[in-house]
Amino acid sequence: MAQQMKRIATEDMVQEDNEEVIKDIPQMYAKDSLDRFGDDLCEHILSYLTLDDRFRCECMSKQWQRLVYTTVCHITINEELTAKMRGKKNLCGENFFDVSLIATIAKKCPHIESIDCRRLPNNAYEPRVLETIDDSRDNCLKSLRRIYANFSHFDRQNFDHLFHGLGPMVTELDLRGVGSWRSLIPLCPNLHRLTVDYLSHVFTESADKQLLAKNLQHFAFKMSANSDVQIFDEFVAHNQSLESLVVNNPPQVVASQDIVTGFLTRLTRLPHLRELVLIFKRKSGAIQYSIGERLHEIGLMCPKLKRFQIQMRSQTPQLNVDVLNAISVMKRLKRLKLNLEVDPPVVTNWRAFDSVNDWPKGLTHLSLHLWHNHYNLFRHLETNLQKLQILHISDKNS
Amino acid sequence: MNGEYSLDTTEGMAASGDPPTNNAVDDYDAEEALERQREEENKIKIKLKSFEGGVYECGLTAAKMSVMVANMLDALQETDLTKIATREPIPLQNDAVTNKALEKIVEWVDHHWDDPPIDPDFDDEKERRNEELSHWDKQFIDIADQGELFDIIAAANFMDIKGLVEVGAKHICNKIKGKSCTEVREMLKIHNDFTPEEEAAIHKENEWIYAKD
Repeated sequence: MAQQMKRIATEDMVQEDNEEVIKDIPQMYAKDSLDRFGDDLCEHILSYLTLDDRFRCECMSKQWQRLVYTTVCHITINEELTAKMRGKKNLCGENFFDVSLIATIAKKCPHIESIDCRRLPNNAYEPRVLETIDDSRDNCLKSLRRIYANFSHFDRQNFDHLFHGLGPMVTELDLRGVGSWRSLIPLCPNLHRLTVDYLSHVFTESADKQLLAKNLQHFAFKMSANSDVQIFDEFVAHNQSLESLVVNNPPQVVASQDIVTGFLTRLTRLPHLRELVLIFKRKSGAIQYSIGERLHEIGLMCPKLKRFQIQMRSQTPQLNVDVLNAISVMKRLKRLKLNLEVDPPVVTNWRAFDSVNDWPKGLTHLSLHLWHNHYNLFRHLETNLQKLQILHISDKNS
Repeated sequence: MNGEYSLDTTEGMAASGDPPTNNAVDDYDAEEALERQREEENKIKIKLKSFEGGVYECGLTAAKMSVMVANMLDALQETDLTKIATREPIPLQNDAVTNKALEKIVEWVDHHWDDPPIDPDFDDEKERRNEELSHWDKQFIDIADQGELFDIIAAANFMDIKGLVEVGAKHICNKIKGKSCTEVREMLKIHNDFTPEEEAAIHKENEWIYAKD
């Protein structure tokens, strides 16, 4: 039984002299006192407190002092917290940024597993925060396993030094805009989420082009006009664990049909894919070829796909209809976001949305921005998708 | 249709070369079948008996949200589930399970038994912890009598109904938010077992928390 009987002394009893006797009388607390809960339940309840409230309430009782910090597993160093660091004054009465606060928190909370530094209001603080974390690891932060940071405002020398210590704790890296920092990737053996500008940024700059990132779970990159589809083969072969992939075709880039279909074909070799996002934001040139067949193959070969998003502008409605048709094959899809337009705009016949009848019945989240919203579409949605929890529909006029 | 996706073709799955999913719920058809089964089972009503002797009826699936009740039912090894309905009420031997508390608990599980299952691909444990209570839960747990509220939480903890304990815990923590130490102590009737010196020392250590930009 989780709830323990606790021994207490009521005020009347305290006035008696014989404390020995008092200790031996077990007594339940009043029903409306939180003290009635045993340590397990009390600890669980207090685990929902904010960090702020925990520090303010430590002085509540010895039970609270014992339990209030044990369940802190994650800390986000956000604006609120940095405001407190900035609030400190030095001997001359000037405000300064007191990073030692992180050590103070770390000392009280023995089970911190992850620290998120990405929401610092000023990235310039980040190096000092990370250094403090690194320094604190000798006497506290023993459970620390993950660090989230932007890694900006570093000079390379500090950077490498820091990464040799903290690298194994880094599980997410976003190298957009800093492709030259790719040499950090091998210092982070537990990396599972990586965002880069271009695919070539996960390969060494040397002539032999060694693959830097293996066994990732989440990956995002942009297509370029001269993308090398071949190197994607090697990436796919060493990242079979990939669960989520985001491919972006930026506005100024017109990737050729070969490149686009080349990438899509290779996605069929990722059997664990659960999330796929394809964004074609190109400014000029609507897509003139069908990718429906490629998506159909992906649907068959990636049976775990649960979330799919595609954004594109096609030259004819039929190319979009091909995409709608392919959705039917993605049997386990739960969340779907489609943004399909036609350039130049035309109205489609009402049969265009027939395939919605065969869409996966388990869809719970659906967002549609289509070139044409037909009455038929709504009818199909209503009769077939009984599990929908969230539906978002818009058109180019709204 | 490809046999890989239907429930009863385990052979087909093995032959397809794809590693068979050990999590059957991953499959839409299996999910559907499970849901129907849960619906059917919830039509069977079982009886729960409070510590004070009050007997309350509850759907079987709803009652199984209590891990303790689910284990007790498993231990019966009853293959014919309809027989469970005619059994003696299940006694809940903890003084927190008062009539009032059990009535509220049955109300809660009756409302929540068909909640969509947690999908680890989309629901992050950390996010769930920070999620606000639903409107229904907020109204449900907003109980004026604190003794009764604590009974429900302790009873839910005893019966091992994680979702309900969480609702209670979030409710209490919401009430603590932003209040001063003295206010919290008064509200939750907590006995201060620190000496004034000890308490002052803790305040000193944590005074940074009151710092403002």
